[in-house]
Amino acid sequence: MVNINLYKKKKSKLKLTTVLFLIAILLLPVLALRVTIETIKQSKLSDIRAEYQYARSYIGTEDIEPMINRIKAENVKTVNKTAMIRVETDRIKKDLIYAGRSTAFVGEMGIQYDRYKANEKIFIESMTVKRGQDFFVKYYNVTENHQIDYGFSEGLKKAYQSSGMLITDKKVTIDFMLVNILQEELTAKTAKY
Amino acid sequence: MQIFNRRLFVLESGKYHTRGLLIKLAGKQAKILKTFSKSYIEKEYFSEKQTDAIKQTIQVIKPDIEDFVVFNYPYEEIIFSTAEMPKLADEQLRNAVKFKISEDYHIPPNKLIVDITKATNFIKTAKGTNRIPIFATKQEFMDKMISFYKGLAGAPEPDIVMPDQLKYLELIDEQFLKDEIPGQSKLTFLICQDLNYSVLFTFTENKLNDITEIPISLENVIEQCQKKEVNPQKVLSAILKGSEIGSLEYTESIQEIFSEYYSKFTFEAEKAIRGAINHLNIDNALTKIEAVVVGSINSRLTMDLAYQIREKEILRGANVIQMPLKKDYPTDAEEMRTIMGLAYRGVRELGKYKFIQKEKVKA
Repeated sequence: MVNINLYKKKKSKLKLTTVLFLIAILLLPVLALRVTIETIKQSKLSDIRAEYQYARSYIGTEDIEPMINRIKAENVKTVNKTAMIRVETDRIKKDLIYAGRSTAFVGEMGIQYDRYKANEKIFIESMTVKRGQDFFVKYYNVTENHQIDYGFSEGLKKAYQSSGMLITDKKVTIDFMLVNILQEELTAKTAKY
Repeated sequence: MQIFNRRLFVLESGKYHTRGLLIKLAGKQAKILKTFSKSYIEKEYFSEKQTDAIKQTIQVIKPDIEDFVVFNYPYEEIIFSTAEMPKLADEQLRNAVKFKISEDYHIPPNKLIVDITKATNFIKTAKGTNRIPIFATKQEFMDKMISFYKGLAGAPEPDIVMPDQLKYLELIDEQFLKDEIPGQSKLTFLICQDLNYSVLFTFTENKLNDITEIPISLENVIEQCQKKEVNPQKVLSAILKGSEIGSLEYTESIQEIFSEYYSKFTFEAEKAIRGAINHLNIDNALTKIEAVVVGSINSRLTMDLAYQIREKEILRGANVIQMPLKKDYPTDAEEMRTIMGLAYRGVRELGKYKFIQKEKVKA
């Protein structure tokens, strides 16, 4: 049919309620998306809280970003603390090892002396037991009637080695009249403890 | 709020009656919600009675600012013309047509409103040009009418203002015009009798070719009633409602008036048709007339007019038929037929909807 219109000036108008309704409709997908995202977020946070019980107290209901920052800070704090404890543990371990080594270094001399005191005489010239240095002892092992077995010296070195000390020795045998004298310097590598 | 449905407010107003219609469009269905009709007799447009009638229509119908609004535009103020134009872009074509009408009628282009039919209604000529039906009016009258409707009567601003006579083209079943006769170029005449005008539409090949005025209308009946001291308001009401004329008082006088009127009408219609045929330049045009279709403001007047024209053997016994209405025309809208033409135009603008029966208006 003939579509004649002699008045084409009208601009369409909308009522306020229609405008508000249209705005609401336009915003609906955005709101729905936000609600969906929030629901997914809460669900995931709930899963995380269940899985990581230690972190539970740090996971709230607010934005993810501050939660991540808080957990990161807590993680840094924990890592620092762990490092401190490790250092402390290492120090205590070293102290204990040092205490054991130094006790063994001195105590073993007494034990070996008791074992061989009937046949051998021991004269200690010098001895160094100091933290941060290698232990050192210089002594003379004297046997009677030209005997060449130095039980004290051998026993001492074996005992040190079996207690885990790395030993270096320097020895000289002196034949003096009817007596054989062993001059021995023992160094235990204990500087690292 | 008109988001899931639309409403259409139609206002038809003239010298003799004002009608209002509110239609709801939802789910591909058009439903008449409210109607209002008031008749009066005035000699001019923009009378006090017309103002009151429009005011009452607005009060009853209560249109809102989101309603799609359709007004009729007085037939007398319309210039109908046709122009042969080469193929042009729409904007250029409208400008060219405007300047042509401006020159023909000596009206400056800026004081002229012009609209043309859809390109599908252009008639192709042998020269390869298009014959374009043009509707125009003076800007001044349009401004006056809009200002009157909006200002004095409080009507909303219209979305569509359509020439009054085109309402008949909206009512007719388009399929009737589309039915082709193989091997023949079809010529159809549509006579429309309104209260204050009568027109002859000429269709060639289903396309509107011409609109000619038939210089007699129901206005003549009302004038004769006034002269013969028959209450014209009663006659007008009966005419508008499509009541039996015999149900009125002064039956004899009225019968006489109508008889004389129909006789004159047929004569004038025949003159108009023959004049149109002469302008068409079609060989043996009389043999190509498919039908003379008759339409009026309601079915009774349509029936009476068709009968009278048939009886008088117009065009040596041409086929005279009543205007076939659109298939979805609501049967209970008979008394509102003229405004329904405007309603169909508005509905078509908003989409494809079918009319369903009217809802009873709550008292």
